[in-house]
Amino acid sequence: MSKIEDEIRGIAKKLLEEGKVKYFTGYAKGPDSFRARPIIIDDPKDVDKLIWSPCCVNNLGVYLVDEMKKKPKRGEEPDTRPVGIVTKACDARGITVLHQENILPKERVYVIGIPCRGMADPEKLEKHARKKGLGHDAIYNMDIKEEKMMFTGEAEGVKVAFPREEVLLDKCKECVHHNPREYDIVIGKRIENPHVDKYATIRELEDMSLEEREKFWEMIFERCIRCNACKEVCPMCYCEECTVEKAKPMRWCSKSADKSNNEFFHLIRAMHLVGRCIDCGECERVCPMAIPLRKLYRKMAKEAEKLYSYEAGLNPEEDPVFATFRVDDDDEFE
Amino acid sequence: MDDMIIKKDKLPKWSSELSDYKIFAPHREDDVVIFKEMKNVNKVVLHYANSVMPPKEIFFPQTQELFKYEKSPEMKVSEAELPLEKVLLFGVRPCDARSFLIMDKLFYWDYEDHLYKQARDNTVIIGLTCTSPHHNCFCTSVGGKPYSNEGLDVLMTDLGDRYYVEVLTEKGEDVIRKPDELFSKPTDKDRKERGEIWEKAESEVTKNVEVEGVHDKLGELFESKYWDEKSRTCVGCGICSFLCPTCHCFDITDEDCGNCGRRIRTWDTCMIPEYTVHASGYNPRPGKKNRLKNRVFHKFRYFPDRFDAIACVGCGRCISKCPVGIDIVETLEEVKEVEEVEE
Amino acid sequence: MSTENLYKPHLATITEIREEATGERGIKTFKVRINDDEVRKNFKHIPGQCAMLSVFGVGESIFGISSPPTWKDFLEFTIMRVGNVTSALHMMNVGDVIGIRGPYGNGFPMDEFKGKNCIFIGAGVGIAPLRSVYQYVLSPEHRKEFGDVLLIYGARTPADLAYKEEFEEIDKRDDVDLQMCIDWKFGPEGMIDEDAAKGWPKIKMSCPAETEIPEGCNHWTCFVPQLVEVAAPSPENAVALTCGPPIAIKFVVQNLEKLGFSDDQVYTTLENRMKCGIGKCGRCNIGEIYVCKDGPVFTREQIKKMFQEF
Repeated sequence: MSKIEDEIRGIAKKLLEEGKVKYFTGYAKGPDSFRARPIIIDDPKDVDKLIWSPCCVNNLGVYLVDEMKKKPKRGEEPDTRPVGIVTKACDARGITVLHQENILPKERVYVIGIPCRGMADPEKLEKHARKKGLGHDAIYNMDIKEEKMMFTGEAEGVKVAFPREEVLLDKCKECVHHNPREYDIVIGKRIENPHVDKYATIRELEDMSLEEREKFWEMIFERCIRCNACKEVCPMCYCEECTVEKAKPMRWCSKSADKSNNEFFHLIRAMHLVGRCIDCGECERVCPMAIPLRKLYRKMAKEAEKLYSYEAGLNPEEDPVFATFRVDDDDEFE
Repeated sequence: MDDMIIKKDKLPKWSSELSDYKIFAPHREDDVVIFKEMKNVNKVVLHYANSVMPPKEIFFPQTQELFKYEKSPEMKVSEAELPLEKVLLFGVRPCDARSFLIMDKLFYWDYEDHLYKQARDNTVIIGLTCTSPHHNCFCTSVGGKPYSNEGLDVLMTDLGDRYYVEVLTEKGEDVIRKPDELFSKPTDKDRKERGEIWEKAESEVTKNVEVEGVHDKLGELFESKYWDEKSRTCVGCGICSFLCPTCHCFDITDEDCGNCGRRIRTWDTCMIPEYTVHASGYNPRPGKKNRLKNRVFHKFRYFPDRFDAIACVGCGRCISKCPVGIDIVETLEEVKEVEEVEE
Repeated sequence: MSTENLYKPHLATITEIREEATGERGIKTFKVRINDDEVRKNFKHIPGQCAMLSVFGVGESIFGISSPPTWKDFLEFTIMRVGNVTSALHMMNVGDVIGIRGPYGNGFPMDEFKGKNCIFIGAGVGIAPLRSVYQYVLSPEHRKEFGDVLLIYGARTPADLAYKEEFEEIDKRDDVDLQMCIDWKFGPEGMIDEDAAKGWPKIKMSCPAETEIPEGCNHWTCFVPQLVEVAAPSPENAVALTCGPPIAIKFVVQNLEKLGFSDDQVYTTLENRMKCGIGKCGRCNIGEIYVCKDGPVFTREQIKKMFQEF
């Protein structure tokens, strides 16, 4: 068991035992070796189910939004104790955005921040393991070995190594914010932020002509099945009623899953995420149709940074970029 | 018709003989395998566990026009155009083929759904034995086999450089063109090889659950706290339903363009609150627990009660793609174990 | 086997609109005539059945048919304004064209009711589906087939009562016992124990069954379930049909039980969100029951056996 995992369990246990948190949100072992999954626990006896591994990819912030939407039963005193949550640096930035946007008061969440150099892509892990003749559930005790820049696991008592660069999630390769900024407690050592191209994913697209870009997206949008997973996993998509689903008094976006309506859906979402998307990459990870959603949102993030020197979720004291106005703001998009 | 063998290098020739059919086959686009209209036989991919999207959209498209209307000068309603062309669905996995029989029950009971029937009647389905099942496949637990021929017109099994071809229906016979030139008779060796491949494939379906008893046990668990716990991390997206080959629920909406428009049906999912909410705002399935429970109950209790079949073919898509790792097989195992504590 | 387009509605014209109740959730009755002669002739429904009404461009919703099959050539729908389609319908005028398809659902088993005393208990807009039944029972063609008729109907205020003129006519008949009520008024302390309006005397709040009934009085201040206690129908050779908001139905059924009605004597209707009306789209299910096909009419006995998710 890793030291971080140990500490998460210890903190969760204490918080739950002392009744300091309403419940605790973390990661648990998933359905196979390479996937962890979210778990919500109430009982300190269950803290041993909590894990920390390179498979902890989900952004758990989405459950905080759920919590804020809960309405107490009639006659019941609402339980306003904070919710305990494990966050990677990117997830913690998401919580900052929720604070900034007055969706989640600070006192309603107890954040365990973990500096993070990146998580593993389950499919890449699987491929790597397969090369070694190991199946999807052959490996256990997946761990992060910071100093060696690799992930490890065990199969039948033998250590298996996964070179980080080979199995890292794409978004993690482009991450320049490895350390959570807002937290109640931090576990693990501070990590030097790397100098990498944080907009690498859109470079190729930016080099394309407008026509080429249009063609590129057209084919991709056509594939979308409008399962809404991208917006349901997104902590920033917290609207009670989404614009694209709004049917009263009229429907803006048809339920037709055709090119034009799909495009409308995705572009509306992209516009609504400017200066808010913290690049946790959940949308792209969960998309069953492999739509490169990050490319959309990274492009918007890049524009916001260029125009307003603003990056989402870095400073809780700062107002959200589209909630402020300066006379010298540029109001033209490229 | 007797069984046959076709060499793989004869596939292009065979497909060119079938120009009277619109052929849909699995293609790879970026990282996803989906059924698309075949323009070039060489672009078809046949080495994959299963397509991300089941081929149900051939019979039950995600978006389908029901009729058109015109409001002026006077109100007029006109039929949607029905696609009349013959369709050949190539490379369907046996699990997905079984899903068509399950969907038939729904679309044909009582009122016959003309749009579904039209597409179904016009389509010939050529299946392909699943030779390397995915680790989330569990077809054998719900009555299927990697080489099941249920719901198929033709079943092909990959024998390396050739396919073993079983023609199962009259519709299937129609796609066997130039039998003397393109096909040959199978030898005993072919038969034996096919048997071995079938056996191996079946043994590779390792995920399994005994569904016997699940139906009755669910009946005891309608009020169980288990569903609160199970649904806690569900994010309420539509992946499990949209990717499910047997999920068939739809919404009906109007696409209005002022003076005219059309009424469409689109896939819907029982995992969202809008699915059941009344106009008054009242919702009989208000929480995630109600919705997740409904999905499990529908597949393993309601549908069997109504149509005498489990509404799950064990394709494993919902397991592979669930963003939060909810696993239907694990759920069923847990259901069997849950002990209700009297309060 | 038909290859008919089941989703394509027939065109129908609104020939009359009557405002039954005003307010935010107003109620209107629409008299609708199917345009095509052949279709109109063939549209035969059983009391309690439903139809899908379309406002083209807005959508489609399912409604109970509130006119009896004995009224020929037109159908009536009494509709409360709650959602998109109902709001659009409420904005329509006489002469406007809508879409209609149906009839759908099981309807009430009228043959089984023959020879029996019929008790109708409607609360609020719940009177609409019942109207197709009691108007059938009260029709000159069928009145003889049934026993005594007790008709109980209540709404929030006198202004909320639907079918006013019709009830005046029914009140004149001596082959129907009509009992109507309006809700108690509410003050900061709860229900106010006094007449809610002039001409609507209160019942004995503490014990409704002990209310003294002066000759000729059939307008009361009370809730519908209490009026059931006041009227105290006998369960002998009787069926009770009740319709209304779930909370009213719940107490009506309890009180019928107290009066000795068994579960198979009590009929009610269920509603759920529906899109297709023909058992395909999925959402109206309660367990393996499709409300659109197997309902909307169920006996108390059937409802008790269902998973309680409605």
